[in-house]
Amino acid sequence: MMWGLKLEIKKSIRTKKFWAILIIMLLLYIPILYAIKTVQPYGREFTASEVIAALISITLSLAKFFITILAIVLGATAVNTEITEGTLRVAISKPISRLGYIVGKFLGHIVVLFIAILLAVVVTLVGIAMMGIDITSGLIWDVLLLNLSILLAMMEFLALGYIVSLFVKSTSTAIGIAIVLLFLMSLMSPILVEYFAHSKAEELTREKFGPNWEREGFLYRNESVKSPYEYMNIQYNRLVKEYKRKYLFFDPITQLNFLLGNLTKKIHVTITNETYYPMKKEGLTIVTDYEHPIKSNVTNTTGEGPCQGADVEGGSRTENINGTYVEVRYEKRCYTLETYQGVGYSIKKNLDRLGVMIAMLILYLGVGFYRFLRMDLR
Amino acid sequence: MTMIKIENLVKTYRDVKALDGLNLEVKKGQIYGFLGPNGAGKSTTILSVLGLIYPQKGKIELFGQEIFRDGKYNEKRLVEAKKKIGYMPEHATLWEFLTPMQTLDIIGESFGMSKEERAKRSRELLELLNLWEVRNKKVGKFSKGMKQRLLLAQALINDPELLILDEPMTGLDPKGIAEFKDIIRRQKKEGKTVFFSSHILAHVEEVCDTVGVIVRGKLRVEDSIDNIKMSFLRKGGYLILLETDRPVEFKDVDWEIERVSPTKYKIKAPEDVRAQINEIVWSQGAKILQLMVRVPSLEEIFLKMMEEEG
Repeated sequence: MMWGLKLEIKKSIRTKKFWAILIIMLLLYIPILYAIKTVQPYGREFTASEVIAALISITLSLAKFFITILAIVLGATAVNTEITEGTLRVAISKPISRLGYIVGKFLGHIVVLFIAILLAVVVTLVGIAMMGIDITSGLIWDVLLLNLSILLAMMEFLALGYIVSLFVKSTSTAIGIAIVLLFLMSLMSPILVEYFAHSKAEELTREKFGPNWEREGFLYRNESVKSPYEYMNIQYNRLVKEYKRKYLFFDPITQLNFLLGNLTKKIHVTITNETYYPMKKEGLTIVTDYEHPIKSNVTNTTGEGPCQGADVEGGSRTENINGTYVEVRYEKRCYTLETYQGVGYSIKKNLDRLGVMIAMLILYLGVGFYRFLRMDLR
Repeated sequence: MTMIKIENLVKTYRDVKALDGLNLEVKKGQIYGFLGPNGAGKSTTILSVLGLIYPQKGKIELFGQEIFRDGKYNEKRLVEAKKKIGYMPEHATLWEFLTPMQTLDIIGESFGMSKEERAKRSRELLELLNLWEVRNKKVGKFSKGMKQRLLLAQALINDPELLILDEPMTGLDPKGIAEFKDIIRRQKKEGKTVFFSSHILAHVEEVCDTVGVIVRGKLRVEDSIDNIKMSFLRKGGYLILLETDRPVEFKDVDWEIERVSPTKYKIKAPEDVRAQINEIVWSQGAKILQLMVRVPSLEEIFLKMMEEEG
């Protein structure tokens, strides 16, 4: 195993491909840092947690489009290239076991990817420091954890690439198949799941509001009951999440999104302002005396998650207090507060996703390694 | 002691039968030439011996130890056996971004050789194979001949008891072939065993003491090189090209005669009939302007053998 590992590392760090990948990865970070530095919200500086949150979201989206392609293509050409060039025949003719060789090779690839990621971490931290934000050990830990999560997803893609490379002999065909596979797994299947969630949400809405809910929807506009649109939206969001968790266990990107889905914690604060006005009879009509409010109440409530419903709500109602009628005017304002909790927090909250990712990695590797042990290397 | 013993080996790729019950034995100290036309199963045999492919049936022993039986390798024994084997594959290159020194170093490492040992042995081999000058150049920039020599060097790094070469001289110039033959002879002098395949008779001449001929996945002949050559000649027959100064008539002979022009003949006979031809020509008062004997090529003999097989 150690020999395969050493060989892979020796080989990789001497290829131009590796250094090209590394330089591209590092170059990608520069515009991000520059953008964060120049774009300032409302003329003030970004706070540290805002910078980190921005960095993480950008790194993640980059990881999705660039690093995954990199990992799967790296995997898809790993073994078949060696078969066509004949180097694999030389290697396996030496006194090493097949399993040891392939495990070592995979580990070698991981080490190479890890070096690339470590460099990315260093560049990120240097960039953050250059923006005048203190580098704390917590921050280093966060960036490292983030990149390790990405590495786990990359390992899954690498393993998938290995499977392709073990079944498809031609390198160019293998790259094509790997990219199609990536497309189907990480782009098409989420869209499919969203489509099904949408149909199901529509069905639920129809059940609740009747078949004409779309036409009658506007009737609910001023009611305190949720409108069908709102209801459907809530159902849709819930179902997408549920389906993705359930059915897209095989897609590393979806799982990574879940794993890092709780980087921030959202709470909402609702401030309700109620003012009581007396009502009196003036001739035949009842009027409210707005000049002399009886009392004013301000209540604060906080809850988990973002605000539900409208952010600002207002109106009035009539109440009977001890035999006299009063008009209560109220105004409700809801604020969503987002606090950065860190990568560790998110991973801890989604340990089951971490388990799914590791299980799938083991499965993919199992398929790949089994194939390698049983195949004709010619 | 037998170095390689193969019994009734069968390997089918999809619907192509590459090995059809092959039996083969290579003894210690032998230089064994493994001849056969392209696609006869030479490489398949070698890959099976090294555990690189999975035959469906049969038995393989290396150094007296059974390493394969009916579709399964004994991984532990195979790894042990490979410590004493050097293998040079056909149509292969080595890692393009490594230099010869780095290549031999990493390969030596797989045999558990120490750093000093590896450095010493690498130097010896690179000097022997005229690669010392380019020891720090990347292999990707090498010519075909240089790559072949480096492939041989990596096969020799562990001073193997058994050297297995798959078509080692294909694509080499005469000088390169002579160098390869020298190295094979050196191995013989040291009491080592060499098993090598080729589809060209000239490559196995002068060096092999035993030659096996494989056609369609079966060993057809196994003998000394001279006997094999004679049998080839007998099988292929003599082809004589004759040119005379006037037409000649051949009577009472059962040779195949083709009259190319009135004075030119192609004669195919099972044996050397030059003396008889001479007699016939003289008896009819004609003169021989030119007489040429063409030895059949190995390919022709293989074809003939395959025809005989049906």
